[in-house]
Amino acid sequence: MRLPVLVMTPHSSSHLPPQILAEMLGPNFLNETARNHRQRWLFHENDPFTDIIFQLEGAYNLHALVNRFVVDLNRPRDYGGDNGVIKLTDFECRPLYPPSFELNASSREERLRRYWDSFYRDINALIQEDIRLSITGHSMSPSAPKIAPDADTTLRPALSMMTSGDLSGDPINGRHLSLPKDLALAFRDLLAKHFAEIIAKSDVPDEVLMNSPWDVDSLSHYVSDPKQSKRIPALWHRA
Amino acid sequence: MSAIPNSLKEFQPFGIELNRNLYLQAGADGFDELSPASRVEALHHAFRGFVLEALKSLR
Repeated sequence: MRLPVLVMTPHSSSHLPPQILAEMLGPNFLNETARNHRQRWLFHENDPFTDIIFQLEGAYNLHALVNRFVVDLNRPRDYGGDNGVIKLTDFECRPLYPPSFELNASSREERLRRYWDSFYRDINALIQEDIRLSITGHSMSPSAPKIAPDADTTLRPALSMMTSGDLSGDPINGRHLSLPKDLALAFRDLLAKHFAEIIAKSDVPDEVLMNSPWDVDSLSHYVSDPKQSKRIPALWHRA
Repeated sequence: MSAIPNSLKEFQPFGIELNRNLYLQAGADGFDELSPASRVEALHHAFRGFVLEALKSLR
């Protein structure tokens, strides 16, 4: 029997299509070492291996087919800026393209149509199925990079859940919650229970938090939006 | 984009962030690599266990 669960990992792919890699590397595109280095760098700036960890047998699994630095699938389609849906820098503000590179409107649209739209078409088809839980799987660096909302803190928690609410699971900023507070608290405790042994054997802080360092998971917010025509406010930066 | 189904109110979405130090270790070439298979397997099973119990709580 199929599990009524949708698992998505929007930042798991290592794939940089040759056309995008060529735009990033300019004349160095033909240099194998440069290509390999860029692939490795941007894979590790992603949420590496989350497709392996969160892959759930029997569920509906939807893993990204392109690297987050091609198109960030966990951003609204019209989200601009250097850390927007199409990023121009990495999370340490290092440029991804040569100074001469310019992303014009038609190239931007083509990229979104090819990679963002196809992913959201899949989501919209999958949520017509009998789905009870939708989980977006991410991973966070152990300490915050330069552009993160918690850049002034030291170490990040072992795990965090995002429900579009505050630290207690209550609504904030007039947004709808993707998960009701009582369920969010119960799921947070379940997460802590199931990961306790792994966390205890690690050197990460043994905290399982809610909505910290980020309070919105864009995909969860999108699929839980009762109106869906709404666009998600550009309130946060994920890294 | 198609409409969200009416059953949305029974549809519970959320995101999870996993600290990378739970499954990555320093690699020889300066990039992190996956921790030993046993750790990755343990995470995979913990996630499955969590989902199955979360589903039960919805019934």
